[in-house]
Amino acid sequence: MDRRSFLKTGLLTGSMLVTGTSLYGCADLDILDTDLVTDDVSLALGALVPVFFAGVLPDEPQMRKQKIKQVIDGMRIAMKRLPPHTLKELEDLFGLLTNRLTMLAYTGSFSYLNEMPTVQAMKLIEGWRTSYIGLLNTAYEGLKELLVASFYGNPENWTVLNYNKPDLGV
Amino acid sequence: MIADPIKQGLAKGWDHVDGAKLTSSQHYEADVVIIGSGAGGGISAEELAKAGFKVIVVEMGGFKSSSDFVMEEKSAYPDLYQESSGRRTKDKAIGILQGRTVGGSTTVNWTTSIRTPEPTQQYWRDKFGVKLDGEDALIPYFEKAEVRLNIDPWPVPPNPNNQALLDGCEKLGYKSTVVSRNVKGCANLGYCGMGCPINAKQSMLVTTIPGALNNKAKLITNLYVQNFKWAKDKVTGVEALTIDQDFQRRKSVKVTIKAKHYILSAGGIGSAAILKRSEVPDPSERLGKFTFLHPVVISGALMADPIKAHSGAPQSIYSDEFLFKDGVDGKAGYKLEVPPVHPILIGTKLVGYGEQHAALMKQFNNIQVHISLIRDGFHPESPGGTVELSNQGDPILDYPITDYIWDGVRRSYLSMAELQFAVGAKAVLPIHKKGGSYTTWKSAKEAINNFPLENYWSSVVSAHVMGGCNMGENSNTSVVNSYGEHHQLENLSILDGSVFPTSLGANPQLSIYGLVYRNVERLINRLKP
Repeated sequence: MDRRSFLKTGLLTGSMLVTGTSLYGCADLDILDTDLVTDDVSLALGALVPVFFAGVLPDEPQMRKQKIKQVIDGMRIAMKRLPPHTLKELEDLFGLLTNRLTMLAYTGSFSYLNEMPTVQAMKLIEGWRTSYIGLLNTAYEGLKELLVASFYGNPENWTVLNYNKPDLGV
Repeated sequence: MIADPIKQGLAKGWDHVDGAKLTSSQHYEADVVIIGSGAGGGISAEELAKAGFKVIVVEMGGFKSSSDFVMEEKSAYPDLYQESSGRRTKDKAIGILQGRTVGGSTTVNWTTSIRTPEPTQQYWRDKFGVKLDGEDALIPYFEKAEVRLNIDPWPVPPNPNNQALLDGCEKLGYKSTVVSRNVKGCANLGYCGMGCPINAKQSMLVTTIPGALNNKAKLITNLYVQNFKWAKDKVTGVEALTIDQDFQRRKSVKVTIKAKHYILSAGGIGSAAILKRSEVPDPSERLGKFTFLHPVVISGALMADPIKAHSGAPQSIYSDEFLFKDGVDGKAGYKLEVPPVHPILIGTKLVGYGEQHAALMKQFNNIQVHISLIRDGFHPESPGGTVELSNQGDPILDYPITDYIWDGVRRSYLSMAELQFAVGAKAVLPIHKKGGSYTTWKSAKEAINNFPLENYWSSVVSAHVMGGCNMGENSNTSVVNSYGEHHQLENLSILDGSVFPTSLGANPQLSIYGLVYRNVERLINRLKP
């Protein structure tokens, strides 16, 4: 099995775990009670935030750490309101991000994402962004959407844009 | 303090049930139950309630109002949009913006109000036998909607984002039109997409839904209709689940509703999904199929002067120069408009990440944006998409982008870039993964002509979901007749944009208002004792 088919199989297996349905609207809703952002996922995302937001994160280590945590927390809150089928897909995606075999395949390193230098995490993201495998493109787009929405949805970060919403005086 | 008409109405005793707050299962009865409170449901609800029918309106979203509309995407998207604004087609190649709140998409649209173009109506007459002439002509009903919702050409000068489109069209000799908007007392803020904070937008939320509630209608929010029960040729009831504060379905608290007549106004995707979950008869095999999106592609430009495209009426100019250029069923035509530019909306679309992305975001106020809406459904190579159901019963739209549409995408990128250079863009940024920042029309043209056009390379979005339950006079090629009456279930009407047999070539709200005004008038005459 080559690298591509291995990854594709990984993603597909995840989505095939979905079980049958007895009554529409009630099947598989257990995922709603699961916190998908586990400690491992949080560590992996923590390694990706500096890749996505290079150029706008603070340099001071404590502030930087706090900002990264804020982005992940915002993402966790937003996820609570996503439909079950999207959460299933995110569960698969997070599975990839915390899988050392995936990391080996895409970065050549057998380390977890959070153990890698940023340049290697960037290699992973660039690989997914420009991949000819649709599933990896969508993984990149999905991650970007969640992270960007969390970061730029936060009024604290609007200084980057020199933007503010109108003051209606209420 | 800005008055909130919804809070005031509730205080004076409107009959509203919040599904999220119900603690035990309930059963309700009415003359007519309407599923959905958007453009179709809102118009139907007010007309039927005024005519004296006992009406129940069901909405899957919440009853949010101006006090909740704080002009922040962070809360607006999860509160007011389907799937927190993250809805996508099955292959994830197209993002879909659709409302999920009282008022439906009318609560979050950008107020653009355009009558159904005549070539589109002619196509429906010719191909589907849709009745649009004589006493079935839509013009009086468009006029009725325009009066009810205060629709007029926008008299205020366009914001710089729209001005760029107007100036570009004038420089290149292209057609342009001032947008008509459904507003009253608009302060030109620019936040229509997050719910109007001052109730100026004449959405269903502040017009027809209050009109229905003032006429004793009942509104049930946070209620997810799973399916109809039906037997022989009649619908016999509605089965629904309540939804919690996080918009997740609750297995434990259910609602059933029985009525004499059932109206489906859940919109493109939603209406087809309910009928598919209900496994209703579908002899034409068209249910859920032929769902159209007006696929949209985007072109950014960096301008020397600030554009501040977040501020001012989001859409006040459009160009139909290329809409029917090659005839109604020739090469894909497209409508040129501009979108509002807000932090998440643009941040998720701009190409790349890290330093490259940050550099663009830092020029946020100088970004001008054009969008091109491609007219789909008028050509054999543009069959649209099919609504499928996930294992959880949620609708998923399978919409493969065909070469016919991709050809429209490439021509769209070219037109938008040329317009942007015509007004002095310092750089043009087609929103495509291979797209760079081009400083001359020549270099942009060369690059665009060589773009790989396939899924995920080009950022494609949609804010107009149409079709899936198409109307027509032949039951072998349509789901409902010209009046929205279901061909097989006699007490079921579909009154929303899902009945359009193709896309429109225009922003949909006024087409829905006009058609539904006409069809609900007929329904009222039919149901009167």
